Amino acid sequence: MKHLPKIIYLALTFCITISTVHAQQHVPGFLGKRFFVEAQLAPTVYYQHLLSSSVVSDEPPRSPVSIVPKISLNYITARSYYVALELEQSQLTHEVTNVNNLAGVEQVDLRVTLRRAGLGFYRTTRRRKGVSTLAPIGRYVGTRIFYGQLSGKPTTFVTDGSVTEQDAMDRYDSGYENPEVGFVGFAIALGNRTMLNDQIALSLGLDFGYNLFLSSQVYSDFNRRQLVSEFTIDRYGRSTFGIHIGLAALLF
Amino acid sequence: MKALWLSVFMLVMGTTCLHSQELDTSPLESSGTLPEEVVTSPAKKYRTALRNYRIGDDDSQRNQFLLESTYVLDQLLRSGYVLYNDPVGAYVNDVMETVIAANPSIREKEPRAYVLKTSEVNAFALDQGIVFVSLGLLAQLENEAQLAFVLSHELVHIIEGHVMDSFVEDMKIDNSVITTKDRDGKQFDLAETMKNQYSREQEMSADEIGAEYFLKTNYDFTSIVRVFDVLRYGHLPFDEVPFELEYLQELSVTLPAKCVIEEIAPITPPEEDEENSTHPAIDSRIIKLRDRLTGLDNEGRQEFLVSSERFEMARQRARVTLPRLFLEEQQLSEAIYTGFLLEKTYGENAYAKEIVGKALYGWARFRSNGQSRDVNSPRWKKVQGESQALFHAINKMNAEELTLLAITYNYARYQQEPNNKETKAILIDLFGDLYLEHDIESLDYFKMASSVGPTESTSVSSEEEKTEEETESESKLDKIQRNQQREGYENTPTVWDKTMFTAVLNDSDFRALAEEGFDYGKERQAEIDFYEPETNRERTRLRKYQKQREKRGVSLGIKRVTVVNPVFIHLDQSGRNDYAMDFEKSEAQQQLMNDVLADCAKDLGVSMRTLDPAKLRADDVDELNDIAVASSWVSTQLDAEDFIYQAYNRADMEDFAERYNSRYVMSVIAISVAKRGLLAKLFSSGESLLLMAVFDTETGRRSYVKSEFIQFYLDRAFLQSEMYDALNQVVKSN
Repeated sequence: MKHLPKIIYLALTFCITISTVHAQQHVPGFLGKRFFVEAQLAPTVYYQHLLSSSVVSDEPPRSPVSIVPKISLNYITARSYYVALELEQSQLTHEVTNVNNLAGVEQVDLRVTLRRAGLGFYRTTRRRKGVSTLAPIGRYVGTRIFYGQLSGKPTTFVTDGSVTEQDAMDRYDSGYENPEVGFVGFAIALGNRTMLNDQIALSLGLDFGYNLFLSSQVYSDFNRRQLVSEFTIDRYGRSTFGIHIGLAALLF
Repeated sequence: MKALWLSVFMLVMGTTCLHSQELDTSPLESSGTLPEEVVTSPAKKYRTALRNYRIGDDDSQRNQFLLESTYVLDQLLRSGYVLYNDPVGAYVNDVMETVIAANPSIREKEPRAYVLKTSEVNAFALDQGIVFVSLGLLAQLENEAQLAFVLSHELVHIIEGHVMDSFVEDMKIDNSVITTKDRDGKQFDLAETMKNQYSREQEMSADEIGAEYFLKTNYDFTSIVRVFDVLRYGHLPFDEVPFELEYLQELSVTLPAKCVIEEIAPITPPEEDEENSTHPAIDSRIIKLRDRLTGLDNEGRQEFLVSSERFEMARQRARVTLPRLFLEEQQLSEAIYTGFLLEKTYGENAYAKEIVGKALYGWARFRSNGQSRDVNSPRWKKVQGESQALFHAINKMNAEELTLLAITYNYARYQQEPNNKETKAILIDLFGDLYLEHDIESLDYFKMASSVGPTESTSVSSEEEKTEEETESESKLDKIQRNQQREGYENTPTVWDKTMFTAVLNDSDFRALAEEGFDYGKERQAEIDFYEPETNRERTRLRKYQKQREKRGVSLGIKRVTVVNPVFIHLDQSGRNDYAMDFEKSEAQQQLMNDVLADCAKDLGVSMRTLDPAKLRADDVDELNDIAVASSWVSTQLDAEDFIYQAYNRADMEDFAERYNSRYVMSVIAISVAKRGLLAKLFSSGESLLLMAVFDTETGRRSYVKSEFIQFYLDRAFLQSEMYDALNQVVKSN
């Protein structure tokens, strides 16, 4: 799966090449433009995003909502169809309270970061019969596949006073492996773009995603250091639901 | 020497005079500088009207009236149906000036008259001070005094502000009266009845005061009562001359016997339902006027105060224009009969024959393609008077017979003028229809008749010997047969078509034209076959084409195009199923649409010229005339839904194409409904209908680059999207 970004890159290149070959026959997008970039902020709810370990089971994040920044580079292949290369990142904080293996530590706040790179296929639609509107304006619907990487890092140590926070962190670093796991997923997105002027569009949309984690064995084979505990990620998939708000700029 | 010069001078003058008496068949068009009120934007006119009428914002009804009437009037003034600086209009204004001179108080409203290019017999006035008189009415009036009386009547409507009063009254009635049911449970529209009552009162008042205006002039009043009969019988042609079927018979062809009408329906006054009419019954109007005129002295009064020659000129120009208007209005039988009348009234002329040829061509094409309903001529049984013979003959002929008749008539014209491209196109089209619609694949179908012309009657002598008693005992069919034999028609319709071309069957020109026409038919057949596949391979090919078309649209490869009369209608959704046109927004959106279209054309490298009536300037009179010609052509092409009407008005459109350096004309019609609310605006919520069609003026072919409902309001972005897409389809080639 480490080759997935390459596959995405190749697929995107292939799409662009094919559509360029047929460019004369196809209708380009809005006002003849083919490329647009889009930046979005997506308040996203992570459902069943639980953290498990030998000492912690099904620990939910402090808040299931994360504000996800997302940027995408989009290429309009023909009239209402476009492909998108998308990057996004989200963060969740899990409060791990059952940390008995770290003496003097009552709670560890673990920040889990999810980075995703995806390839999306979209089209702008019109419910009535007839050809669709030129991308990217109007209603859009599409799906995307992505590959992602999850990593966890402790941010705060709450101690009982017997140890300093720095000590706790040192002990954690020596005893724990930060969780790191890859995942794949897909999402269905729909929304609407309204042109604010000839070049900038406001987008509003919904996004339903599903992340499937590739492995729960997130800890490496521990080194000679004493193994205190390991945080693992639940092997089950996690659903996401996001509201996307952003701006798209038509390039050329 | 002096005598020689004098005789030369006399000869020149004589020739000039003779020439001036020739029938002027040139089309009536606007000329000179367009009036200020035509080139001023409706928004500006509306603001001026608000000031002039001193209407406050609180008077919503009058405000609404001014808004609507200003925009509707503006559309009419720019439609191309109104003539400016034309000789007929100038004459009508001079007659109106005679009435105004006798009634100076009228002048403060600055009344003016325009002539409307419509065959309808009508005159009407708007509060803005404009009287419209139709060419249909001018063709039927008998003298100048009658015209003066009509104008006097209409001037009253202006002076009294009848149109605004009527509008306000109608709104009040609508707001206060609810529709009720009578005892039988039928819906009884009280509001409509009340509105009609109000309108009738206004008309009676216009009759009374108009008569006073008129009587102050020195016009003869003996014939003005007959104006009401002009209106009453306005549906009849401008003259009653027995129609001779021989008129349609060219190339020694005789019409089938079934075309002969047994008896012409007598002319009866149309039934009037006063309660449901906006106008009072004509009889009561006549009685009132007669009462007023009783006892008055007509001595010294004249029928013509301006000029009898100019009246005759105006009437003649109106009568000559009528058949052209009938053609445009798809009243094809009326066009033929009026052409016939022109020849009867003004002598044989090529113009009348051209009209008749085109009307027969139109009839044949519409009938052959199953679109008879789109021809606006009534069924023969509903027609009264002498023209019924023609309506009957046309109705009785089937599509094939009409096509053959149209071919013979137009070929006779072609023989007179072999270089006429339009006639040639008509003939090719008609032969094409023989192939496509009537399964006649070559001239071999036709055979030489043993004798040319009407079959000689063999029993006429014995008929003549019949006693009166015997005649009375004849059945209806016997009578018809006797009538037909007397007229010299053969009663053998089954072979009628096969011997049609006897006179020209060996004519090389005729054969060449037929060949070209049949080839055109074959070409069209191949195109039609593509859409009606029979084998799996053909079906697959069609599916692939349709899929591609749905995905990419069409590829026309056109670099130059003329956009004619683009229209944007903005509707506001005020209720669930209640829409109201927003005139001001429509104007703004139309402007935006034109701008977007121009920008997209520039981006895509399309050389585009837009003929938009809203952008006319004072010296754009030629453009206005061109808009009228092209709009009418486009509208007729759209009427011909199921076939290619390639030769219709081809000559005019060739000139048009040459002037604008493009044979392609594009029509753009957008109707867009906007939903209310901020969110609706953000999401461009609404519904739109967009029609963009490109016509080839040479071949009559058309391609709809946009013909669809859109699930959005056509705001700037969606206009940009749709216009770009459409023009891209126009410009790109496969």
